[in-house]
Amino acid sequence: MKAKQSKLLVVDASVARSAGETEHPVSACCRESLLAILSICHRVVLTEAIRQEWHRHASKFTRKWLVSMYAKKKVPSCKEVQLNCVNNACEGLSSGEQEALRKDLCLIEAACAADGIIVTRDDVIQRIWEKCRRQLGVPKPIRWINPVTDGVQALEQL
Amino acid sequence: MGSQPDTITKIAVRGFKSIADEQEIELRPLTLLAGANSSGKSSIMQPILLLKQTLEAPSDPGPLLLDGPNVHFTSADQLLSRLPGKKRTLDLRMKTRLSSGRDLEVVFKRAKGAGFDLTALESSRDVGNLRIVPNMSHDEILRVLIESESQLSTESLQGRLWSVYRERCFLSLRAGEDRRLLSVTTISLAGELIPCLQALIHLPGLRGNPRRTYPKRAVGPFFAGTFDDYVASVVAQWQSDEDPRLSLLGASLEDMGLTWKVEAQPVDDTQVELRVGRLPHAGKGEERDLVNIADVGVGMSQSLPVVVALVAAEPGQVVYLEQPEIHLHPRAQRRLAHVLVDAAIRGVIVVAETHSSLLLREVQTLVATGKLATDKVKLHWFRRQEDGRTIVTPADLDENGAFGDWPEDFDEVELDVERAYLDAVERKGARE
Repeated sequence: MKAKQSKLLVVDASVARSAGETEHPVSACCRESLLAILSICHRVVLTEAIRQEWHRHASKFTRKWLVSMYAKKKVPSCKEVQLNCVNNACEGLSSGEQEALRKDLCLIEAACAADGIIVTRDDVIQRIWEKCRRQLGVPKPIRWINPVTDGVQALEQL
Repeated sequence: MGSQPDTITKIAVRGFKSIADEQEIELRPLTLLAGANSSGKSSIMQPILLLKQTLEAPSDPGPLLLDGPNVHFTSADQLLSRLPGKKRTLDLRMKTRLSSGRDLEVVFKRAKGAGFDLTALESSRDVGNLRIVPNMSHDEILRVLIESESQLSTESLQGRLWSVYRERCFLSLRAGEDRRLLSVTTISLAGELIPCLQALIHLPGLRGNPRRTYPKRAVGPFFAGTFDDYVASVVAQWQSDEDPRLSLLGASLEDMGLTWKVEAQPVDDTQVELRVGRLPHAGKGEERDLVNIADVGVGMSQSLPVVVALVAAEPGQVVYLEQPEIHLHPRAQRRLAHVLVDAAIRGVIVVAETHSSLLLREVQTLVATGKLATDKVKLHWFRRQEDGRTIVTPADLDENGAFGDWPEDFDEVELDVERAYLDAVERKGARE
């Protein structure tokens, strides 16, 4: 099924890592999501920070998937939007939350440069985001999709 | 062949096997034909091979030689399109475009008795179309020649008696001073295409079992029939001439991990033996460590004709390879892409039918690295519709070697295989 409108997504390396593993049912859900992105004809953005994470976690499956995405011109070059209010956003967060936000900020910055959609297994960063999104000064709404709990239907309905 | 020989740049076919509707392929120095089995990849090239074997037959076989060295049919019905619930097509049309810009279409019709009749030939450029059919009268021929802005002056056209005659698989015009056809003038509409067809090098998918000895053959530039019959003689010729292409052949085969040396040894006045290095790479004292080609792996005997053909071909010459990768280890398939690309860079028109995702990916990589220019490569994906018709989807590679929205399914198949295995392990783990 092809999308009426191809969306430019951010896919977290946590999805890449799980897709190459055999942890039931998480891994199968991640594989389904990646294959759905390919067949629905969505595109993905790989900023330098995300690319490095992907290469660290990529399995044979995810490497093949990424090569296929490149071959089909579904990985446009894109530069992240720098968010300058991170320190403000960290006020009111615990030190653990601050660390998690700084670590995954690259996903939000990439989503700002893309269509504002992040596919990740990590619900923690989503909760932190809910706490601090006003202070972060993000220029567009961000939608989070978890391949395990939201399934491929969420990708099909974009 | 001249310094700038004419070459075939486009082929279109209609009415041939699964190609019921007209489909065309543009030929570039590297043209890859891919798609599922029986999707029509060979069918787009077989009409050209029919023309080739008709031209090369020792005696006139009629308009089309159906059973020859390149393609094998025993009845016209076997090659005409037939779709479910519909009558078999009766017309077979083949069109070529040459680098000179000339299009030539030849039309065959199922004959009432057996085989085919040649029913029309149309030649066109930017200006001036010329369509001739058998049994045209002198006046009709004059009219089409004048309308087509023939280079012959009106006076010279009118002072002669014109007629149409068949030259193997083409129609030509002939004019004489009178009915005795003294001082004959001929206009061969296929005159530019014929040498291209004769020069075409064809290597079929089944390249025969390796033999202890091979019959001696005269060596090119034209190779009638299939090229595998010439390989031993070409190597012998290069050896005798101390031709540098012999070293290039050895280097290419060594790069593919097959052998480092090929040698031809005359057995008698009629036979040549092919010997190859027993090991993939040369070592000390292994200059004479050669064995008969029948004593090494099938990959070697199947790949040698491919590499010899690519090294032997001249710029502008079409080399049509069916499954060049068969019997090759994945690493050798990958390196084979370099041999194809090197020939394409020299200006050879390499047309390769392939099921190798590795070969395709390596070509993409060579484009992305800048070794092969994007305008030197063309991809064509073949698929069958539900009613059996073949549809060809072309694609270009961009500077990253990406082909975009092209229905290539190698990746999907490989991802499915990976997923199926991981899913199976995952489910098994969950049960335990």
